[in-house]
Amino acid sequence: MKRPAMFLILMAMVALFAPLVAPHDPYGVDVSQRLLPPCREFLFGTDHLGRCVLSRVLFGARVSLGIGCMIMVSSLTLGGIIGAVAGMGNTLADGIIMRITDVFMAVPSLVFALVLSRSLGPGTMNVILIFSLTLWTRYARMVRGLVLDLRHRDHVATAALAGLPPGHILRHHILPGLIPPMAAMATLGMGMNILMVSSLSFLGLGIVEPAPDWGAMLATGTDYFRTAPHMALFPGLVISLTVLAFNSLGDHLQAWEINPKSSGRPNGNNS
Amino acid sequence: MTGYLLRRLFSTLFVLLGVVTLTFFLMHFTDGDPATIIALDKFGAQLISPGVIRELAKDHCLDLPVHVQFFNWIRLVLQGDLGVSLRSGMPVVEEILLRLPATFSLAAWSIAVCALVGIPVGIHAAQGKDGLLDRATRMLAAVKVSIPGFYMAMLLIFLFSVKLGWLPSYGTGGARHYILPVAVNVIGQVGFTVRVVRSAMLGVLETDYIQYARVRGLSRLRILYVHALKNASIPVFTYLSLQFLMVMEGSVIIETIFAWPGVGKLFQEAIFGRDFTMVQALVLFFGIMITLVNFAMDLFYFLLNQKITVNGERP
Repeated sequence: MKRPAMFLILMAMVALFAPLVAPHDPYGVDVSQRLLPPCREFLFGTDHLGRCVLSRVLFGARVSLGIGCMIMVSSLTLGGIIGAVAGMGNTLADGIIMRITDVFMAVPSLVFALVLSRSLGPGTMNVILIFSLTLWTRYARMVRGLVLDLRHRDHVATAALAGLPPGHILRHHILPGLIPPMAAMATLGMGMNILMVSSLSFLGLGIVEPAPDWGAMLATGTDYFRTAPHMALFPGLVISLTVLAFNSLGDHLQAWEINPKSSGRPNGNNS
Repeated sequence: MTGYLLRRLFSTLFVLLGVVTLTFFLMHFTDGDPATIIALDKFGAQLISPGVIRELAKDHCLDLPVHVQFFNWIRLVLQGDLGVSLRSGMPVVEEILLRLPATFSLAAWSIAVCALVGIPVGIHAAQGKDGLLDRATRMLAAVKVSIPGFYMAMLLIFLFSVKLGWLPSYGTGGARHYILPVAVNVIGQVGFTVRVVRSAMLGVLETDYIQYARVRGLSRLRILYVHALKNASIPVFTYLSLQFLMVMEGSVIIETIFAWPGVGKLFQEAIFGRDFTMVQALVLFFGIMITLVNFAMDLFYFLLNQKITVNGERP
């Protein structure tokens, strides 16, 4: 539990204080110093325009974590509302909403995202919009399941019997029960968002130059990796470590939620 | 029991219709004006005029009201006529069928290697709880979901093609061309295979009949591979079909990197070539395929459950 959390806190600090810790200007082009391998001056080397890869990776924490966060918030909100409506509604409404969710789930996220981004064009806001429209389904499913489960718990059933309106029940009796599992889901979702955005950037329709997004850097780096592997190596490493941290933290949260007394280690028999 | 089957069939049909609808609206409301795209493709940017675009729209029935176009689209889908590719001029269905074997063979090899490695290792891992092997595969499973597939592919290409020069880094041509793309898929998924096999086996190994087999003095391998594996195979089978879907979903990225001539690459080409009809057909193809695989999985479960119920003489 500690190591992934520490790493993520470190990343958040890097994002906050990027201008203070970055040794160079992440946008500073100097073609005379292009594609330098890692050295004392440029710890991670320089890219095809002579920009410092380390500085770009550090500034990239802002872009990549920020975009991941925004996608997470918007897709969780969208999926949460749809799932809650399905869970609180009657069988017919629930059935229709969930079949529509199935329809959206049937088209692979990346395929969906590619079609959308081809027409909307690349760019930060579009990427956030695109993935909110494609990634809400899993949250909708989960929230619906949780709401259905909570609805039949005694305290909620009692509240309903007492004649409280559904809105009140949702806010005061169901929402508190949703927060812990959603926190785990959101943490796991962050990892997925970062991977998804980097895949889209790799295909050339995600975040575009000169923004120092990790995925975009990795994508540009793949064009040069035969001659300058460091250009892709470091952004890819940071992406992998960050996603790994989000995933293991999410797993711990999930395990902790099933059994709060456990040490926070994921349940070995079921994982 | 048949009620369940009918319900499931009905909802599958609903989802299929939904996929057809979603594809239509996705293409018609987002990808610019189809008539303009077709005109650009046919005549180039210098020669198009509003008149030409109108005429093309008429030819392709794009000037009709949306609901008429929609019903036309459903009719065409039912007839299996999805038009011709704007890039190659070939019927899109034909072109997809032409590209499908490459994707399927890559998927088949990936799943086969995954099963060949993952099943024995999973069985072994189930024996020593929390042993070294167990921790190693747990780590592999965690690493998989954290490393972007194209990053992994790039590292492997760098090592085996650029540095060592052992393997070709793109294209098809022989068994050697399969190694790297299959390796990327396998590294991505073998950790999960092991986890699934392991947990399925753990469940089975605690049952009475395995204890009985031990008491009877059957050999360890026979118990594991014949008696236990048979009953652990349901979750494993489910996982393998899920894995098929994952490989299909990942095909766009993997095939783009390795220039593999399958449907994933076809989709990437269609997206960047603004091949309107091809993109439309492929979105539909992916949606229908995933829905049908899910339905087949449910059907399989249903039949299996029925068999268990009948044989076990439960009501």
